[in-house]
Amino acid sequence: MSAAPRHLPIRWTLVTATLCALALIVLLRKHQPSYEEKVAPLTVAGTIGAPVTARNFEVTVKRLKLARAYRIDGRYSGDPSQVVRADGIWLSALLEATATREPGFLSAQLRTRDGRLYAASGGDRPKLDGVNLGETSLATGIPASGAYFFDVPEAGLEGASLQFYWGLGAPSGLDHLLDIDLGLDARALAELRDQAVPELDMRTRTDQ
Amino acid sequence: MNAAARPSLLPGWWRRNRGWLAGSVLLGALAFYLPWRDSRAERARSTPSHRINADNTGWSDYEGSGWRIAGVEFEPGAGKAVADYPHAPGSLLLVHYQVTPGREATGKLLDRCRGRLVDAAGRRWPANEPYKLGRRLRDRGFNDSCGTRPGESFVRIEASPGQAFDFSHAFLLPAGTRPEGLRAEIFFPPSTTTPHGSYLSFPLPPSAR
Repeated sequence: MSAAPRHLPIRWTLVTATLCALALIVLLRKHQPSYEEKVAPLTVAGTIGAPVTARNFEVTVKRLKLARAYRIDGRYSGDPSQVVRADGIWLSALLEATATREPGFLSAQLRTRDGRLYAASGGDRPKLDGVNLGETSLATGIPASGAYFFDVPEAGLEGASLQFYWGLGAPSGLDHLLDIDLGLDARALAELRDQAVPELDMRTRTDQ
Repeated sequence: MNAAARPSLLPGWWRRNRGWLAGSVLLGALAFYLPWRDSRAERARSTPSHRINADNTGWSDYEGSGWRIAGVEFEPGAGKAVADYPHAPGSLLLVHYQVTPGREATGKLLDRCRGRLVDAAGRRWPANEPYKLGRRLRDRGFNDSCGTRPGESFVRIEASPGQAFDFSHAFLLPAGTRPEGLRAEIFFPPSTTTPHGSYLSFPLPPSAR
C-alpha cells in the first residue's frame, strides 16, 4: 500500500512578503546612484562679489574683464614686450582667494551654459607673476589677490559660471566645487564687450 | 485548534537556529569592523595620525632618538614677500630644535623628517614653505635639515649618535595669529614609523609668547 502524498501548506503571507522584498530590491537597485554620482564633488553655489567658503578655501570674485590680447613684459630685462593673443577671447576673473586650512593649489574652470568646461590658463599664459594665480601655491591664511585667465570662445560666455576646486587636475570627488554665477546675461556681456580693449597693457617694466 | 491555544513555535525556532544566528551576527559585525580596521591602518600608513605628546621641558623619545625644542622666535610683521604672490606682511615663527640621534639613527635617516605647525582649529603650516621661507632661514645661518648640515667642499656633516644636533623650522603665519595654542610637530614618512603614522607634537614653550 502506497502512502498518500503529503502537501505542504502554502503560506501566502510569506510568499507575498518575499515577492514584495524582491520587487523592492529590484526597484532600489534600478534607482541607486552610480559610483560617479556617489563620489561626485559637492557643489556650493555663490555669486559674484560675495565671499564663498569651501572646505579648504574662500574665494571672492570681484569683477570680470574681457580682452583680445595682453601686452606683457619680455622674458628678460631689455627684451621687447610680448603680445599674448587669445584663440577666442580672454576672460579674466579678478578675485581674492585664501587657503583656510592647509597650503596648496586652487584651480578654476569656466562652465558654459551647454556644459562645456574650460580650464583656467596656466601660470605662464599670460605670464604675469603675482597676478595670474593659475598654478600658484596658496599659503595657509595668507590671502592672494589676483586673477584667473580663460581663453574661451566668445559665443560661449553668455550664462557661463565660474567654478573653483582645491588641488590640481580634475575636481576631487566628495570635495567642494564652488559654482559662482557670473550674471553674464546678454546685457552684462554687452557691457563687458564695450569695456574690452583690443590689447590690454599689463607691462610692469619701462625698459621695453 | 484556535490561535490562542496553539503553542508558540518561536522559542523552539530560536533554539534550533541559534548556531547560524550567532554566526550571522558575528559575520555581520566583522563585515563592518574589518574594512574599518583596514582603512584605519591604510590611513596610518599614509598620514601622520598617531600623536605622541612631547615633554615641553626635556627630551622626548621618537623613533629611537631624543628631541627637544631649544628655542622659539616669534617675529610679527616680518613675513614680507615670502609667498608666491604679493601679500600683506605675515608673522614669522622660528622653532629651533635639537635631536640626539639614537644608536641606529643616521643623518640620512633623520633627514627624512618633516615639520609642521598646527593650531586648535586644524590649520596647518608645513615647515620652511613656501620655498622662499626655507631659503631665508638658510640665509640667516640656520640649518633646515634634521640630520645633516652643509659642510666644507659641499660635503654634508651628519648628526652623530649621542650628540645633540641643531636644526630649525620656519613658518609663515597670517598677521594677527598668535603663538598661543600652536603646536610644533615633527614626523617621518608615516609608513616607516612604529606604530605607523606616529608623530611628535610639542606645545610651544612660553618663551614664544
